[in-house]
Amino acid sequence: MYFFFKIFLFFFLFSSYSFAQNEINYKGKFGYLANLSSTIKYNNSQEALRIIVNDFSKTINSEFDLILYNTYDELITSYKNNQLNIMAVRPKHYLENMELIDNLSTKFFILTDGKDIKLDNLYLVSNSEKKIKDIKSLDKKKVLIKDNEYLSQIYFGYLTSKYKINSNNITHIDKFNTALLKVFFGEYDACVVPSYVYNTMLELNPSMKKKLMILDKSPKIFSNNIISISKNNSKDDLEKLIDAINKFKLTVKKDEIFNLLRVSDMFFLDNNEINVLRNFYLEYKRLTKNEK
Amino acid sequence: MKNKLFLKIYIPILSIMISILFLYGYVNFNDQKNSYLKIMETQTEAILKSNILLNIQYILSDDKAQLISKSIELLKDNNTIKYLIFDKNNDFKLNILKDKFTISDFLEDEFKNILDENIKYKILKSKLYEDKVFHYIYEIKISKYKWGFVHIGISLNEYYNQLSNIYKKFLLITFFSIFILAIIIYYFVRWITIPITELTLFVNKISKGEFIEIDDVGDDEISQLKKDFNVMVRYLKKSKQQEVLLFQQTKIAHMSDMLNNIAHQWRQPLSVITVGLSGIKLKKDLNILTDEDFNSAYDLIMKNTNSLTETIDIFNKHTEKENFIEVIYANKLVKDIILLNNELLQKNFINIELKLLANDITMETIPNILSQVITNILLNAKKVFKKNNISKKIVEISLIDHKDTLCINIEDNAGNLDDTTLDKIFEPYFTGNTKYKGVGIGLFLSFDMIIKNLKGTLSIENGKSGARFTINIPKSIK
Repeated sequence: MYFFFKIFLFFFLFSSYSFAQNEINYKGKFGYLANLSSTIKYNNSQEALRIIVNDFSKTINSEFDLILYNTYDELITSYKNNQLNIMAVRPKHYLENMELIDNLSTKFFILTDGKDIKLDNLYLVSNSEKKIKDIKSLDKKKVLIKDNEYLSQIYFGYLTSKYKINSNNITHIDKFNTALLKVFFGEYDACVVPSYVYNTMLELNPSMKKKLMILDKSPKIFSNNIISISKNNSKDDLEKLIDAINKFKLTVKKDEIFNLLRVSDMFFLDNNEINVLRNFYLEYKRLTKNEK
Repeated sequence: MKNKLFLKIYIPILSIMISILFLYGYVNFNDQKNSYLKIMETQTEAILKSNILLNIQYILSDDKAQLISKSIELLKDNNTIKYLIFDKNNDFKLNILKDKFTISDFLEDEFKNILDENIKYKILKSKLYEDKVFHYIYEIKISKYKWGFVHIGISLNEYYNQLSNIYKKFLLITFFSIFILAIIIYYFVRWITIPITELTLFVNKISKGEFIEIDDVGDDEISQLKKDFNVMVRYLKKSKQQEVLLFQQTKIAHMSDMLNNIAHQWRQPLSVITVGLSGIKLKKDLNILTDEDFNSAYDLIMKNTNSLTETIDIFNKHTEKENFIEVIYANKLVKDIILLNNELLQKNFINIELKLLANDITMETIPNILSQVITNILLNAKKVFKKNNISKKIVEISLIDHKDTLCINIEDNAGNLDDTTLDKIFEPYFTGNTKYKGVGIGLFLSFDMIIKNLKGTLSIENGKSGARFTINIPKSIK
């Protein structure tokens, strides 16, 4: 949920910046997936978001509506019915409905966590003291994967299917760095972590490298969010939006806003980059289908 | 000079007040410092306790991965926490900072020392972190089981900011207080010293002869002092008037003596003139007056007439009302003064033994004043001769040429004086003898005139067989 909040904040701050520059006057609706069955704290956050949006709309003399959806189905239905101009989704939702979303969208962009990294790759890391030399040695071993992390799951699923290893001993954990540390301390045999997490942990304690071994590296295809721009945006509006985002990235204000959002950068994705992800996912589907 | 008393009071009082202010500030500053440390201790304990509570399962299960992960998260979220150390007894030590973590078997000496000292916190700089931090230690103990310690390093930025604020406020308040105090003390000291300053000016005027009375309204000590001063002024005014009167009387007496002297000086030339004129009258009546007799008598008369004129000139010079500075020869001046007093000396059978300068010198002085002084000394000698019934009266007057001054010693043989007389002889009215007018003021006036008018000194001491007055006057009083 924090991810969606970040996306909203980005749009809020970005639009505010753009208005201040008097260069664009974008009018659009932003679809945002919110799970109302979640905690009270989250519900309060929604109300806070609505107040901010109202204030924001009045302040900038423009219309940039935040629309919250309880389920993904409602969100995609609205998007499909041209009721939204922009939509933020998790990679899981995109990959499972990519044909539909691709047909409805004209452009994609992402907000990234790792510094200077556009699309991240995932590492399969093992403890070198466990005598695990390759992926096949992982059979029946204790593996840690981040909880609710679809990309890690499909990546590890892809590997287990490809190398035909038993993957029943998987434990889910709340944080990537904890997963890596647990492998480092020998509590688990292996884990899947993004490369930036691995590198950051090695910066914190370079001696970790001695006890950790990278068994496999995925292609650079992953991001934890995908923001799609609907085809229902006029050419003029789309140009205004793209132009403003590009100009925004050149400003000094950029770092301050990214820091508030706790993201490192933002990038537009071209078709080739999306295609690599799509192909990887299709390959994963093919392998897992064969297993069944 | 004018404000010396004011400054003597103002500066010490202000210095004391400033010292007290700074001392108070120092004590207060230290109290504030300790209070803030106490607050830091409480806050740190609260942070640490809540963090330990959240992670107690990881601590007790020695889940290093979770401890590191959660601690890094905490360090990233809370900028004031600089490091966390999980120090398990006889086991691992996890040193966790925002940008690194290490696992070791030993605790750094700085931290060990705090444990040994059995204190809860200390401000220290360690090898672990580059800056000084507030290092706090909390023991994890469940029932009898002692797991170990958690150390936390808290940034001192806020502490230093607080101290800096306190320091700035203290300085601001101090300087403002000093400013206010300086003004208050200024007016207070002024209030105290103004009457004293007024009195000083008042006394200064009195010393210059301006006998004015000061406003003495009030009933405090200073007002009482003013009243007493006014009484003194009235007394001094009266004394001065009497002194002036006495001076006039002395002057008249002096003039009288001078006139007697002139009369005495004139007696001989007038007799010669009379005899001369009678001689030529008789010769004329007998028709035996020759031109030679006439011219001879004429010359004699003219000579004695000139002598009379000269006597008058000397008298004028030595009795002038105004005190003119003149260039004169020292030997001649003293000889003239003796000549003026000739009648006095002869009448009282006083012999003068004069020891003049071998080489006469010129000097710039006021002959009139010196004449009055020497005359007064001779008059004094005359009285003492009479009092002590001295038969062979001798006054020795000797001149000594010093580099810039002329010294005139006047010594009589009327007997030595006792110490009291020597001490008080120049004081006004010092005499029991009121038989002669002007007695008791002559030497006092002489002393005063020598100092004020001739810028010299007059002293007395016992000589061989009498009093010896010594006059020292500059050769030039300009």
